[in-house]
Amino acid sequence: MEYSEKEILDSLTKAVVAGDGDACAKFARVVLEMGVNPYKALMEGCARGMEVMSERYDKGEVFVPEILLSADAMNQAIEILKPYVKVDKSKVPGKVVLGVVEGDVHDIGKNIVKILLEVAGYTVIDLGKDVQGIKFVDTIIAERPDIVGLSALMTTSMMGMPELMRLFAQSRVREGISVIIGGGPVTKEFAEKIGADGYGTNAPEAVRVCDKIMHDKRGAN
Amino acid sequence: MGSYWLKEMDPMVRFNAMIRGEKVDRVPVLPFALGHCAHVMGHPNLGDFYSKLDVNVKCQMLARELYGWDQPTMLMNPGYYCADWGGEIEYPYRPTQGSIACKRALVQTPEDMDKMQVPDPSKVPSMHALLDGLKLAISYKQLPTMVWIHGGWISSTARGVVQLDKFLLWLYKAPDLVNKSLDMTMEYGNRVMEYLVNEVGNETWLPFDTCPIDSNVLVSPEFFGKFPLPRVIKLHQKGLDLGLPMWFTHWCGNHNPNINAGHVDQVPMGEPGLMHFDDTVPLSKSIERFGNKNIILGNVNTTSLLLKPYEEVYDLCKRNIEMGKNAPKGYMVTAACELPPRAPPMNVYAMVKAAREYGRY
Ligand code: B12
Repeated sequence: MEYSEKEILDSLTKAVVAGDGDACAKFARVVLEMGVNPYKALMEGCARGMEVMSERYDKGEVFVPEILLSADAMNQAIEILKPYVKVDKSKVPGKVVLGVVEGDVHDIGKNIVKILLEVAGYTVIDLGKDVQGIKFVDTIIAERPDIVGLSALMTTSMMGMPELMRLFAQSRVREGISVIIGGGPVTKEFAEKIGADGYGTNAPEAVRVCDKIMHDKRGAN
Repeated sequence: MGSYWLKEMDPMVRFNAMIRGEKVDRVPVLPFALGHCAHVMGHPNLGDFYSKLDVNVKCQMLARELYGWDQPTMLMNPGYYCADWGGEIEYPYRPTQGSIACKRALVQTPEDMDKMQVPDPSKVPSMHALLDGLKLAISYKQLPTMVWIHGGWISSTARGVVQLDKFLLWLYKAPDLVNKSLDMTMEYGNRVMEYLVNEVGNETWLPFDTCPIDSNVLVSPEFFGKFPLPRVIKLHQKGLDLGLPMWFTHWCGNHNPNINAGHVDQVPMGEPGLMHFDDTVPLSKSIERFGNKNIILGNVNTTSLLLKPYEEVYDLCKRNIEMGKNAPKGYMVTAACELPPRAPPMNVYAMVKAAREYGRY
């Protein structure tokens, strides 16, 4: 059967939204057979589907299991497409170290942010939850990420964020990285007050903030 | 204000009068304070508070005396319904930690489900500790002591026993595993209640539970109705059949869709039950919907309690009390979720002071 490129991309999006792994695999194969650019298929097919799911989550139309189901289905497409994605250094968005700050065990939101960043092409180093400051510092030194993403769901752990900013400065790792923050109690004002470089209320926003940071960074080079 | 409150009812007398439907002098204050009690005792972290129940009971008793609030001792299971099953936990000995953490749940893969066996509480070390703590609280006349009984909810299964992300995915991919694990945690909850009733009877304590992962922040009302709800109904009924007076349930997170779907009404709470929603559910709504059968608790915003100036918190408590005071079966002023352990003592006192000032009957 013949499909136009648009039909293939739309079908991938639909398959991701439906959480249908078989359909994801099927259309990933069609991508290869029809010679569609696999990178484009990931971005405009799969990632678009996850973005739709995130938007629906924000509207209360779907919930976390549905997002996880879509991500799981999408992985079937990614496995097929990944070997064929040519890594063009200028296109690879960047490297993100992500973690939930110390004292906080809420990691569901952070995990969703991770899924969307990965599908948008970012390399994500996930430090997990309840991450001590020194672990962030050690990872920044070892991995030299472009961006560090901090998540906090409790007011108490959010108050650990300014301390982390101080620790990054004192440990001389602040330069060269952008710090973005998010999670329930975090607001734009709070982000500005503690000198963070970005802030997002949900996972698609996290991706947009990272894209903007990387765009500015590359533009400056 | 003067010191008329020195002639107030004793807090435990007040609490008991309200749950029996008798007259009280003023709105009781149940701050939902756990870790905060350790902080005001000067503990540098919450490790001993959560791992040693004698420390826990003492902190809660003295904090109650200090503030004059009406919260009977609330006992958590030091195994956190995680170690009980063979999972790994960490006690909060770092000052940043707010509670016990589950480090690793027993079940990480479908194959691990075979390892899942409903424990016999009389053989679980943390249950022995819980029982000792309960006996101690009873000896101090902290009655009825509230004991955390957890089973049948997604919250009591995913996290402590089954890895959370896996569990949420299994709702679609392996519903049989979901059903099986929910049944087993419900059964454990039943057994824990039987064990405690056999040891200390059914008049000195009441069960409490919380359900953040069952909220509609995480799962749809359809899934809530299909998976945890039937188990929670059975668990709660079992507690009441054992002669326990009532349940105290903290509906953590946004449960509005679960309420609107009629699910919450189906959970037996005892008459009256103690119903506590967080501040995503306005007090007016919980009173209208559940106030004819239940004592309503709530709903002072926790971020405000932690960060806002005293005057603002006092005013917030006042507004809550004025809204709740005339609920048909009674009302207690409570933080919207656990009182932040490091909330400034004056903001905590604001709840008590506002109840004395504006909550008098
Ligand atoms: C589920 C839950 C739990 C689960 C968490 C399971 C897990 N593995 O994550 C469990 C049961 C473990 C739990 C425990 C506790 N919880 Co809780 N919990 C919740 C609940 C109901 C939902 C949180 C959630 O998962 N939301 C869904 C996700 C998808 O949303 P999200 O996290 O906000 O993430 C999105 C955005 O914020 C953003 N984002 C997130 N991170 C980042 C990062 C970056 C960089 C960017 C850009 C964006 C971004 O994108 C995400 C996707 O769109 C909330 C109530 C609520 N309505 O939020 C309470 C809540 C967070 N919990 C609370 C409390 C108090 C606790 C406990 C202390 C209770 C206790 N005494 O045991 C413990 C904490 C123990 C500890 N040491 O941390 C309070 C916090 C109060 C406060 N303001 O401080 C809340 C708000 C409940 C309340 N009503 O007050 N909880």
